Amino acid sequence: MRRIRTELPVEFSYNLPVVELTGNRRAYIEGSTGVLKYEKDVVRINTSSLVISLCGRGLRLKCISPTGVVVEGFISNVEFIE
Amino acid sequence: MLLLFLRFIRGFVIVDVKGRFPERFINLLNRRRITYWDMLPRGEGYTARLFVRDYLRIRPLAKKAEVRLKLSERRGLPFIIRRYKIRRGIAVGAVLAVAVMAFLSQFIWEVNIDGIKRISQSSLNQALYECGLYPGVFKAAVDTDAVERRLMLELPEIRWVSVNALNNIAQIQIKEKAQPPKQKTASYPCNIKAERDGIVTKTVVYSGSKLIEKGSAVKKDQLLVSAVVENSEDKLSYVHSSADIFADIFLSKNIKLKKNQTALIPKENYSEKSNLSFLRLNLPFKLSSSATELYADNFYDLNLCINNVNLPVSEKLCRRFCFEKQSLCLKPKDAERILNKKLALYECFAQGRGRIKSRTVRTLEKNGEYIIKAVYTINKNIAVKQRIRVEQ
Repeated sequence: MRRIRTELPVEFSYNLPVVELTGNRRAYIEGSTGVLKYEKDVVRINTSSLVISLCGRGLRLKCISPTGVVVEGFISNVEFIE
Repeated sequence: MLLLFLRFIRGFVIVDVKGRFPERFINLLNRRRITYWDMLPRGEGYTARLFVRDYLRIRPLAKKAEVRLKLSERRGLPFIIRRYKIRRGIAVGAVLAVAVMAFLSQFIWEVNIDGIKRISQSSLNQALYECGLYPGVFKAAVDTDAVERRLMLELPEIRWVSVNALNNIAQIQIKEKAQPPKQKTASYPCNIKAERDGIVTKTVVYSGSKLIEKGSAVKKDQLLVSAVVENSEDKLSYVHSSADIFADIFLSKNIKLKKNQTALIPKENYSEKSNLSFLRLNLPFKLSSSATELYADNFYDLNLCINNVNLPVSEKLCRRFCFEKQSLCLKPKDAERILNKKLALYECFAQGRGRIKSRTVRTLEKNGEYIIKAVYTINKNIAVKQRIRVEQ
């Protein structure tokens, strides 16, 4: 008999943010709750479960909505701080 | 682009945000759903753009986030209006400009004609004027269909015409009727005789009986080709003779020029009179008079043209050149030059379509006159048709 999978995807079950990178030029973070640091070299985004830190140069917030942030620039490092 | 335009219309400010918690200020703005854009980090803080109305609402948020807002730039229409509020003339000028443009766009400024080959421009312009289409006419008064119909009646050479009044330009496209080929209708019996005395150099006979040969000397009115032809049954019939008879003819030409002449010498200065023409209105623009009996008027129509579009403003200029009579005694060199010019004109236009084989020119001075004597040997077609009456 075939078993029906009842598990939810990881992002829903653990309430994790979704990070989408387009090369090293653009990062889309869904599930953000606020901006913690905004500088040319570092952008820190707060989410419900962790803090995402983006390092690079010429970083800028392209778009901010209550649940998502788009960061553009030359991203060299992505760090997850729990 | 639309977004930029809307932002410009609403007006926006560029603010520098600096202070203790600039990031918190971003979060507060998001929570209050305040629109901002182009947020760029600068030093310890950042700059952002906000609508004017939102800028007034964010003061308490700035206080909460312990940041200082510094207005660095104001942009958009509300600020421009405020800046020029005192200068009402600009607004009045702008309104007047729009009104003038709206008024002028009701008239035809230019009539463009396309596709004419044989019909003359002046006759077409005259016909269009009579049909009520000319620069300066009220656009609504032009019935293009009626103009097309009337133009077809006025000028029978037109096969098809289209009149379109687009913006301020009346565009007229014309197709002319095709010319019917020339029909050979000459069938009457005729002889060919000599136009002048000469020596025949070449004969080309298309129809008729040839009576001369190459090298024959012929006299004026001598019969060269006869219309009477004998057919194979030894019967006579009359035909329409056709031939090219080339002969060397001898011509002499004398042109005289008086030594003492009265010439009209143009004066150095000239007077100008001009009218400023605006649509159908003519206003005197420049006036100057010159009291003289001898003058020549030159007329110029100077149109104001911008970007290949003729504007309805033009200057109609009349330039008057004055002359005075002077008695001159021609020098031999000048006389020779004038006479040679006259001779060249004679050779070009007066002597006919012959080829000049030789020419002898002599200039002499006699009885107060300069005379140029030219003797030509010209090779030309001397065949002339002479109709004959045939009675049965």
